[in-house]
Amino acid sequence: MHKTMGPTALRRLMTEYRELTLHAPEGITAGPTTEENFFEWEALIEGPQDTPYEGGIFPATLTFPKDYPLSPPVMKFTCEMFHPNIYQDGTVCISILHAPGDDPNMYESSSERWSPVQSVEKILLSVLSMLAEPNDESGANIEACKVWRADRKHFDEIVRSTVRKTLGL
Amino acid sequence: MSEGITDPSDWPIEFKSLREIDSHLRCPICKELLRAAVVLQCSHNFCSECIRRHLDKESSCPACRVATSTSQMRRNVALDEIANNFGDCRSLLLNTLMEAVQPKPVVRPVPPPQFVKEESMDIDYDSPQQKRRRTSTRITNRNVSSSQDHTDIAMGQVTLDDDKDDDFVLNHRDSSPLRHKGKNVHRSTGPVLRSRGGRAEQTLSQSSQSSQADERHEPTNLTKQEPSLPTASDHFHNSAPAPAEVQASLNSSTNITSSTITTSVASIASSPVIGPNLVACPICDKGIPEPYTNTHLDKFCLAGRTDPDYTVPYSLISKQPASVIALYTKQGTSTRDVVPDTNSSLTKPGTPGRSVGSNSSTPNSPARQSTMQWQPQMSSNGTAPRQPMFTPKPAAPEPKRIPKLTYSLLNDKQLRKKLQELGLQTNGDKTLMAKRHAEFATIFNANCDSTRPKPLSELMKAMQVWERAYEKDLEVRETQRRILDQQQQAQRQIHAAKEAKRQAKEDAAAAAAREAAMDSPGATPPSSQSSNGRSTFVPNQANSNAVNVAIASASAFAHAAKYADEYAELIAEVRNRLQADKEKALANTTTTITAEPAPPRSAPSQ
Repeated sequence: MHKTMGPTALRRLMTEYRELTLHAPEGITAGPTTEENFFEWEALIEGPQDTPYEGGIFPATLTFPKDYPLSPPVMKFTCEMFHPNIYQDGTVCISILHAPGDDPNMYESSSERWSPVQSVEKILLSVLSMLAEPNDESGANIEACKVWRADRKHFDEIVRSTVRKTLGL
Repeated sequence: MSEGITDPSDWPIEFKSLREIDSHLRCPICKELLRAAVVLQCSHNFCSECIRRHLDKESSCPACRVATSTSQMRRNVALDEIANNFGDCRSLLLNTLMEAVQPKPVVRPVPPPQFVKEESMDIDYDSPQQKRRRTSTRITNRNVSSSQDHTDIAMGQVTLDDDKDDDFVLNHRDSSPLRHKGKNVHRSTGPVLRSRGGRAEQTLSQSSQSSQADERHEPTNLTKQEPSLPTASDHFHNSAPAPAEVQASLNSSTNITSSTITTSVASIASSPVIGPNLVACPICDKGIPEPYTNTHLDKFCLAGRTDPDYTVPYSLISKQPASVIALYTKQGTSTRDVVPDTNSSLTKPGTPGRSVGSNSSTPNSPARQSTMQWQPQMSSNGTAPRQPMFTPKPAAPEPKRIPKLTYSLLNDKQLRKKLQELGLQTNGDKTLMAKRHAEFATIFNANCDSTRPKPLSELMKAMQVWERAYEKDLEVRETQRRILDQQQQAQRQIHAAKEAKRQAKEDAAAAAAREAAMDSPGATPPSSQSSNGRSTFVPNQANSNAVNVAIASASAFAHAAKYADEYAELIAEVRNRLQADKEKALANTTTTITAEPAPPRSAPSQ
């Protein structure tokens, strides 16, 4: 049996999906959008407690490259997110999603970067902790960065309003 | 869909240690049981292929990020064997455990068939793997309904074949025919090696009556040989009688012969796999008489030639019944006929006298042979190399790997030549050729690390699959690029149309303004025309210009407006088509991906 790129990635994604369905970590649901294409996933992330994101449920997509797990997936929130480390278009900017070769902000130590031993579960857990503790050194959303640094109360208000919006309230 | 995907959590919670073992036998990259396990300097283990692919991108350990490289990794033979064997017995063990943990009140009208009984009924050539599979199917079926027992047993062979096909797609570790092949070979050599002593003796005692007939093999030769080689025979028969005695005994009494031979065979059996005073060649693992190791290394092994038969003079095996000879020669990579003209090769073991007609050298051109040193490891008939499982391995038994190339330093011609030497396709541009070489080097070198290497033909098949996947990938990328191009073009056209529209509007406004100004009394042109009414066409140069502009811009406006609609339509159409294209391409890729492990099918659902 050969192991060309495709099947390895596919099998690995299947393994991870199985793991995630059997032992889903709290606050995270994830799986392929359709059974036909395992390289596009949908994830739902619950806003962590004691943060302005609490109570929200945030949908996101994960797009896996063909050579996964050698290269990291791309994660993108499909709802409006106001967060220093999330771009306006919803793309998540955290170190675990960056291959050591590419560092858009030149701030990450390589130890936090993507490596094939990481997993979807670890990515989503990192995103959860990112929601709880934004990293203002990497400015994906400069506006959010500024507000978060200058006026925490105002930041929380904006976030709560977006949370309400995502919930359709 | 997720069939064949295994996980440490498959084990019942009561057996935490098994979960641990399972998880530690998995590669952290592919999350499957280790294949060709290798260990890095930082003590982290990976599948050879996985880590090689990773190190192509980045030279650090994926687990701890310590800098490393392929040259620093080592095979972890013991771990690989453990992982392989764990994989072999995993499903059976799991089923048995599950049954034990959750005993089901199944009424069994028939007592469960005795495994031993059935196995003893099995024909000899039935591989252990097949036996295992059969029993495991039966167990699972028993869970479902016990009444099927009979049919299952009866149809054992049939269900087995079905099985193979069913999990072929995903469960390749267990069921791929390739694995089967490797395993069969591997397993069959194991027992043979171990039981050689016993079996040999048995055969001997059985055939001692016929040993005189067997002696006809080379009676003259032996009588010549033995005296000429006192040292060699002394090596071999520590307790054996002097050559003269052997000769005498062989010639006269079968009883004595059988006893002496039995002792000698017993001494073979008690010694490690290779035999008395034979040492395994560090390169090709062949058993070589100790005094000839250097000769073998320098003149034959490294030169890729087949060496003369050192073993013959050392043993009496040419005198043994055919079965013993078979047992003995089975070990070698090439089954050379025990031709007894060994006097020459004996006295001058360095001469490549008889090396010509051996299996690997003739079919290959010299050039091919020099680069293809895998021949000793993987003989062309698809058998795995001999597994000296119980011999302490020499320090460097590593077969020759394909070296990494710096593709940027090679031109097309050189690269093509490299591919040719490896027997690979040479079509495509340099990028493709470089990728092809890198891919083959990866799977080949990973295969070298395996304790159950696949035959070269399997690697070549894998390369064909890779070629197809690469082509598909190219196609998809091409489609995506075209889609992007068309989208951009459409965008530009929309933009141009909008621009034209805006321009037209502006111009029209300007013209209107100018006209208005013209109409105003203050700006009445000093026309000599006496006509009382207003004239639309004033023979004033500036005025007529303005009007012309107005007309032109009006028509431009109309044109732009019309085209904007057309463009919009066009864009909508293009988008629809592109969407369809995209979906088709996507469907194609997914089908290829899922269909890839299946046997080569041309063009999956277009």
